[in-house]
Amino acid sequence: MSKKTINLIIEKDDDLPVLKRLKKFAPVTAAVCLILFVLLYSISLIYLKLNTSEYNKLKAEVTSSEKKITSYQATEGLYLATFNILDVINKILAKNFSTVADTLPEVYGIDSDEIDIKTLTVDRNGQMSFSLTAYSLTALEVFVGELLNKQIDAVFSDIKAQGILRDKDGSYTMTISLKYRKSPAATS
Amino acid sequence: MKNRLKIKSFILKYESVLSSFVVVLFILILTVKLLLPNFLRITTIFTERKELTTKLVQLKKKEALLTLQNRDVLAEDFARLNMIVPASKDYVLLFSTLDQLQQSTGVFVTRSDFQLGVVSTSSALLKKPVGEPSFLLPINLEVTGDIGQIEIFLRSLTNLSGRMITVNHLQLTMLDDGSVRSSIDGNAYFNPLPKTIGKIDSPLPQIKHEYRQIIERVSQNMVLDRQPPEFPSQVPVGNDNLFF
Repeated sequence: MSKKTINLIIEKDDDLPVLKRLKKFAPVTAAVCLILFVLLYSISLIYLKLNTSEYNKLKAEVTSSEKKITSYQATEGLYLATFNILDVINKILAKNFSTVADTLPEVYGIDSDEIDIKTLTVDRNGQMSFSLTAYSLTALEVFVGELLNKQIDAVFSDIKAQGILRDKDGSYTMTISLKYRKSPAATS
Repeated sequence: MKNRLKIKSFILKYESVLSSFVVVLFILILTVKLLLPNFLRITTIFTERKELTTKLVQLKKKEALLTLQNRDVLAEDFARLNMIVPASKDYVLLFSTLDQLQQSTGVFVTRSDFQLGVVSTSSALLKKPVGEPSFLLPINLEVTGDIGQIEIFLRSLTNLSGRMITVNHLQLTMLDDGSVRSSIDGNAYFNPLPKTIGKIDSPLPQIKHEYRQIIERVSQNMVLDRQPPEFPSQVPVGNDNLFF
């Protein structure tokens, strides 16, 4: 009777090099991932614990402030409308200082009984022209002298006289053009 | 039986790799479910906290400014300012301003010509002239008086006592009776009011010192004849029976 032999030891096949490496690194990777997760999760929890209440408080404050402002909505509308008109008025006043009104006393202030200003035109830039009748040469000289004084005082500039006529009655007629200079700050 | 043995041997062979894979998978699921939401919340808190702080400062400023405002005083100031530069062309206000100035300065307004154009301000297509702070209403006036009266009249046009009228060009002619006839080219202004008040956290402009001065000048120079209506808290009702 012949003896039959059975090999009970499983034959060990050699792993592929990739598998060998995988077996070596997979547990390490898993461990690193686990540690990283635990670490990051703990940090996130601590941050949230420390900051959430402060953030919620800030949010609640904003909401309450918004509610308060909403209750003032009518006042806000009124305030903005008032500001809007004020802004417009301020700009109009800054642009249109009362040049025209200011020029009149400067010219009519030196008017005498012997001088009549027949016509006068003036624009917002201070460009003025007027025609006058002087009933004596002395009055005319005084008037022109006053104008020159005002030129020295920098009230007028660029004074030009045109078309001087002597009438039969001894009166003088002439047209004067000049530029009125006044800084906007000087006007109230 | 053979299959089982095969699976068992496979598990035994890849035991470490498989367990590592399970752990990584589990961590991945936890990351998606727990860590990512936390990180998103942290990002939200981090970015919004700055915005909220800035917004809160703005809101507090606005709240403080609005709390300081007296609504009745504001309403009165607004009513006065609205008579200087109204929201519409308001030709009635122009006439009443001129009537008032006639009375206070002693001049006679012999002719007034307003280029009203389209009468309805709200429905007409409005275009603000370039470089102008407001909408213009060109006017031409003829005024008679002595030179002093005319000077006061000209000053009164911009002294914030009524509708504001600025003078572009003035022509004076001496009449035979010694009075002066003046022809005035100028502009009145109107300014449609804003329809919206902006976002709740939009900052309010501060009323500057020069604006306060304008309000003071207006309060001094203008008397409001149109008082805001007062509503009694309780309206008395009449008798139930009309015959008793």
